[in-house]
Amino acid sequence: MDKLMTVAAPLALAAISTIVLAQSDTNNNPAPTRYLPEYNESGDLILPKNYHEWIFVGSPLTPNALNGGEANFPEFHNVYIEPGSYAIYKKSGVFPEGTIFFKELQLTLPKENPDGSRTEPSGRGFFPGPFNGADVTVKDTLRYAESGGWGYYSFNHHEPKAPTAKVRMKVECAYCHIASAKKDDVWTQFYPLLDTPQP
Amino acid sequence: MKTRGIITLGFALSLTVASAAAYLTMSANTADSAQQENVVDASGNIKVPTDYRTTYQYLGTWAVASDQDKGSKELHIVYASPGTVDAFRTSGHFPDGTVLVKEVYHTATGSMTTGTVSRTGALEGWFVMIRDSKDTHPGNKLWGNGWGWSWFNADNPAKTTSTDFSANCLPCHIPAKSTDWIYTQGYPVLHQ
Repeated sequence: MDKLMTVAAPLALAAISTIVLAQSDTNNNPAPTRYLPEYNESGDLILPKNYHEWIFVGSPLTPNALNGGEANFPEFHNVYIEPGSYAIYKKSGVFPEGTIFFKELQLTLPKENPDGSRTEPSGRGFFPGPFNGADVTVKDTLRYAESGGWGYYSFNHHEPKAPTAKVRMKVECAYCHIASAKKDDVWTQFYPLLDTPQP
Repeated sequence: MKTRGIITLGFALSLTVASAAAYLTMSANTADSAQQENVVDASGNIKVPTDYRTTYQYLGTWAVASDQDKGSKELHIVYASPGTVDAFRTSGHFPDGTVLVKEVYHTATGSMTTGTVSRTGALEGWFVMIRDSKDTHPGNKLWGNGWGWSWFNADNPAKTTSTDFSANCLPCHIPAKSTDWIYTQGYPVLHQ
């Protein structure tokens, strides 16, 4: 009995301290805990978790109707960066190893006009519809040395998103990033949060 | 002997959980009031939260179609204060104190490797709404129908140019009356 108590009490204390410490970290706004890429035993990337709570970067729009009926990335591209990676990037100006960008695709509501728009009480526009799969990039200069230090993945261009994905060939994705993206193969030029990060 | 030991351990652990739960509840309330101070004063004057871009959750984007050219002339991007998405998924409503921020951008549209793309250009301003189901500012014309309402031009996030929500804001929200005046169907993240 005594022996068990000596085991139980420190365990309980440790549990309290861990929770309290984790919570006070959040309140004081220090660097958030990082979520790093996870791979299965085949080396495929596992669909990142909790990306809806990540930092939103931007949402370009390529309506299908303006892109031959099927845009490469239909249609809203909601781009997020993993918060722990962003905290480091904001200070250093360099995307750290393990940085993850998550691009969730989202269709617009069905078109009523030739350009893909529709008319609602608020006016003519492109209105957000259902999610439509996701693409992910991961920075790892050793693992992805062949494609410029970033790995490119598609978790489907439809729902549900695939639970895992295989890395894409350089010509499929990396090529355009290497050729034209402003900084470290990332399109920072289109996203003020990345192009001019606020300290 | 063995059984009593296990009971003792179980008791110690349940105390731990209770303490942790109490602590978490307390700190969540503290966070709410801090968040409120950042956005609204005692008289109900609203301002744009300073840190929403890196601390709020993204809800969705609306695109206003261009009149003559291809693509969009404006992009409206909507964020919610931390915890809103989980709370909405549980209750189906925005809890009191929820802050919604909608950025209104002019756009740039061009032909990129990915096709005809519209993206954000210059910021025009912000809409900010604060959930207040108890209507706690009855004498303030920027509060009513369960929300505080304000528009801010991009050059002054601390002072609204709105004067009367029922004339300046409400008309565009009437089609969304049944969903607490918010177009929640455009935010699939709330319905996961």
